[in-house]
Amino acid sequence: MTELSTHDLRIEIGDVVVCRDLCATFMPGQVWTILGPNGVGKSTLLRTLAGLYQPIAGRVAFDGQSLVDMPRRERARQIGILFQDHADVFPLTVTETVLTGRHPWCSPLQGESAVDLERVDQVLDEVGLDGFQDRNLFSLSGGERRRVDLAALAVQDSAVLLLDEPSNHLDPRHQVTLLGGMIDKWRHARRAVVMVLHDINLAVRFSDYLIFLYGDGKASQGLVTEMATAAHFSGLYDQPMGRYQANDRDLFFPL
Amino acid sequence: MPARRAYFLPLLFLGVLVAAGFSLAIGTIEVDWQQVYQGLVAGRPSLHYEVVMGIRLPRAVNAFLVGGMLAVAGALMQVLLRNPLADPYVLGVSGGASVGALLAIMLGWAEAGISGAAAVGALFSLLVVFSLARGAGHWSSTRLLLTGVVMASGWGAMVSFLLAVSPEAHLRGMLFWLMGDLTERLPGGFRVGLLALGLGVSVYVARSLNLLATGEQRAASLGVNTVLLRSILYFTAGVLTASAVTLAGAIGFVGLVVPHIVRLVIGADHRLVLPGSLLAGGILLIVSELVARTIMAPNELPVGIVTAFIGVPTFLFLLRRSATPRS
Repeated sequence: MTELSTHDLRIEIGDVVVCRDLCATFMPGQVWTILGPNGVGKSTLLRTLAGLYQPIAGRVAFDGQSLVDMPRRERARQIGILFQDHADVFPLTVTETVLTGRHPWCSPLQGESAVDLERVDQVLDEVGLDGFQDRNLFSLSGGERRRVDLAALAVQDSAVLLLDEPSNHLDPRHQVTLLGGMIDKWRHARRAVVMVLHDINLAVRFSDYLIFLYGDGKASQGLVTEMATAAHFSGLYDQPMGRYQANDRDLFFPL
Repeated sequence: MPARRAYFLPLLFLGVLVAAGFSLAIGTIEVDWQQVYQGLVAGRPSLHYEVVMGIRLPRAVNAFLVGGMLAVAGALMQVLLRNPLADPYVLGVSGGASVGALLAIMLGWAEAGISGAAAVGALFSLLVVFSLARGAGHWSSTRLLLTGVVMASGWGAMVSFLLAVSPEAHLRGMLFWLMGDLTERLPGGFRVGLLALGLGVSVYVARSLNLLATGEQRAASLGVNTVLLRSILYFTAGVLTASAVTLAGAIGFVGLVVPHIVRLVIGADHRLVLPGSLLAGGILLIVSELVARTIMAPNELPVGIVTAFIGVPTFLFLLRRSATPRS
């Protein structure tokens, strides 16, 4: 089994304890969302899962092997991450940017092959950016730029997908149809998906499991059906939350 | 995409040859090519042979090398510092070289001594900035930039100090060195090798540079050893700059503007930007050198002034053109 797992993971950022002795297993075909108030370290946990941040104690393992022992290239083939924001300095084209996602699969001296290009075109079509291939990144809107990021992650073809605020800048249709569609596709392809979201309702809608980070190192996890209650969310965010039912969906909102 | 705009590279190469041809042909003396040919084939010495082979050719070759080195170094530095305003000199390499060279001029050293002192100054600055910026092991672009900029202003103060206290007789030589001056010695194979090595390294890491430009964390997540890559960038850019500065003084503008011109024309893929910058930097400096020695002949301008006179309008024109909406 190619699962991503954490073992007695303890992460700290300065004085903030993100989690203490966190044990979680993200199995293929599962979709997880990390929820918690601002500043509890959700993104840092995600970066730790990607092997980009060193925990104080414990370890993250892919398929039983610690990430620190994995060759970088191999790790990049198995674990992909979408960052919350981007910091482009020079204006690559859309195709060039998405192609960077193929990096772990290309040998250092060879360029990308026709197969890589085909894959890029196919994914650009999926995210509704067909015809944008030669557009300059700086000419895109926020939502279009976000979809370029999603496409670049998709072409990486990793077994584990880590998404930090993937719904940022996306309009409702792209949130639900596009992002939701991609997540469903990944679930059916037996990938493991771990996200950070601020929108509780999207989290409930997309996920099979939730992890709550409370900010004091405490964390809880479980099936979305058990975790998603108004009482739990009220405790998590320290804000009274209400529940409303419509179209066979539970919707949560701050009171 | 590599294939799409790669045809610019042979065009640029052609441009280098054309520029070099003009550089050999044009000057205060009308060249009699028959004599040059005789000199080449029969080894018969003549004034015209000496002018072309002994003066103009070495200068053109030096100009190409220096322009290429500075442009590649500038392109690397802009990625390393994640800052489009970065140039090869921003981290103080040229400052260190300048202080070394000015001290040598003050002491009345010969040309080789001046170059040597400049090289020592440049490498010293390179190592000091690197070790200070590394600090506790983690070095961010901002920290590196700040360390380098402060170091550079320190060197700047030293340069002003040396200019203030040096005797009148040395001042002109010092100023010319600071503004950039191409000497007439044939460049050693060492520099050619260095430029080739620099280009080789740059092209080898070029795809990783594209990733680094989209974010350091992102590059790391895609399997790039960013700490190693940044060290490679720093020292490749630094050594190329040091080599260029010791050969020709601190010629400004090439390293800042050529990479941007190339990006505006060829696109931002570093697999094309780096070789393109080398060729375009070479062209700019060959032409600048030609203009510097002909426009006010028999007086000669410092090359650094001409690079700015040619580069500024070119850059502004291309920038303005690219700002108009694209189809």
